[in-house]
Amino acid sequence: MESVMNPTVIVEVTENCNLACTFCLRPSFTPPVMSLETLEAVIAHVLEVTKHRVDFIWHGGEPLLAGPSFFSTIPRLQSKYNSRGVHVVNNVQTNGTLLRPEMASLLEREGFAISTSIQGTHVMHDSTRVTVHGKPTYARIITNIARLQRKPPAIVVLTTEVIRHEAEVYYETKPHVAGIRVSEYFPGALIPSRRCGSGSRQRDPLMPTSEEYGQCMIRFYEIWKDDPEPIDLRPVTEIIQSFVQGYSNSCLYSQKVCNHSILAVKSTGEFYTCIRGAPDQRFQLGHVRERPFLSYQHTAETALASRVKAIIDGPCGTCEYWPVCNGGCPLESYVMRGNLDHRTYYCEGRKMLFARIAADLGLERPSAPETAIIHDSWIHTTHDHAQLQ
Amino acid sequence: MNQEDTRTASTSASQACAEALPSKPRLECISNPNVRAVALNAEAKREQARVQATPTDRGDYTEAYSGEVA
Repeated sequence: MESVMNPTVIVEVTENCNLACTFCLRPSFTPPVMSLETLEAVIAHVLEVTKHRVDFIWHGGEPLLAGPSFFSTIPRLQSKYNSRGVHVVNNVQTNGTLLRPEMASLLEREGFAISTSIQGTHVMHDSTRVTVHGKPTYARIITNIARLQRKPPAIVVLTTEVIRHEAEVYYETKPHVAGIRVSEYFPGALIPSRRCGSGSRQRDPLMPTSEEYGQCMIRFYEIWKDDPEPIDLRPVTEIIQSFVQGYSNSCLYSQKVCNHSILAVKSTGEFYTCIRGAPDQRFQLGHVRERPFLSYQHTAETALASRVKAIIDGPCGTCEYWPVCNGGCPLESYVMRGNLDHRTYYCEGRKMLFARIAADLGLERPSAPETAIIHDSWIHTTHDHAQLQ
Repeated sequence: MNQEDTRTASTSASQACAEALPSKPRLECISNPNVRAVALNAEAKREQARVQATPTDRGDYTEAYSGEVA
């Protein structure tokens, strides 16, 4: 079967974690680490089906719990199974506490990009990102990332605790990192006790309202604009790029990227449409031994068309920001509303940020076009997009 | 000059730039230097990709997954 996808594969090396963050999406401390046999099968299968390029995100839990031997095996297996010369990119998403000298130098020597999480200010971080024994972690992480030859980008989750502390978060984090991604808070994952969608109407206290999100992002944006030596502040810089390009390269802002690029693998070798969907069986694609990626390439096309039709028939169909927003994450819709067919919870907040950035770019506010026209332009955009992959 | 006046003046200057240099890309007239730099870089990448698209040349696609992490 001909390869058609250039995937980003999120590999959950282990569910286990040495931290117990207060807002953790996936609070699980199951010890098994992916076996080397499963690792080999996953790499072989992904490279078998990739067209030109694959981005592996080595994720967790805390992936570095797997130890140096696991990470030194990855490039060897990728070389072994890369007979077609696929371009391979490796990224490790770590909490930073286990980036000891041996591990750090191994990862950098083998060409792994490293990303970490710093939850805002020192005080904010130490009250949320703590060890399983409740101990703070900020100082250890800063010490560890200072050893790296290249500063890593960091993720800050936009919780209610971050609101009105944007300048402190930006300027306190900036000296240690290459960039900051301010991430939309994802509510409670798919864990029934924390689900706030169809099961319970109670709002997660850490989750901002959509308007609070928009106001907070605008403050981050203005702080970044006024910085004479700015760092890469995402998603702000991605949104600027999206306005220039006419589409987004990011899964939260592009249904095509979401459906055609993102895949996840659990440590057991089970494939899912996204790590946000695991372990819900609805989003399970099959075990690596069943070579699930082969059939997924075609079901993804159907899923994409279905999702786009559902949201474009709703309010997104007349939204001027559709090309740079695309309605948001379907799994967020699933968690919040019980199905995949709703626009993002953050819709109003996103619009506030889009409007501010569009004004600075000198873009006139277009009148809301007809749904059919939007749909045509979307097809055109994604066609162009496909040419670039 | 208060912040609103500054914003208005900046917008006017940007419009004047766009009108005075109709042949230049509008992005060069963006008044904020940080926004302008990102926009021009995106435009350059788009043009480069159009002219010499290669299978591995997807730039920021490395971070296609933009969800938050544990």
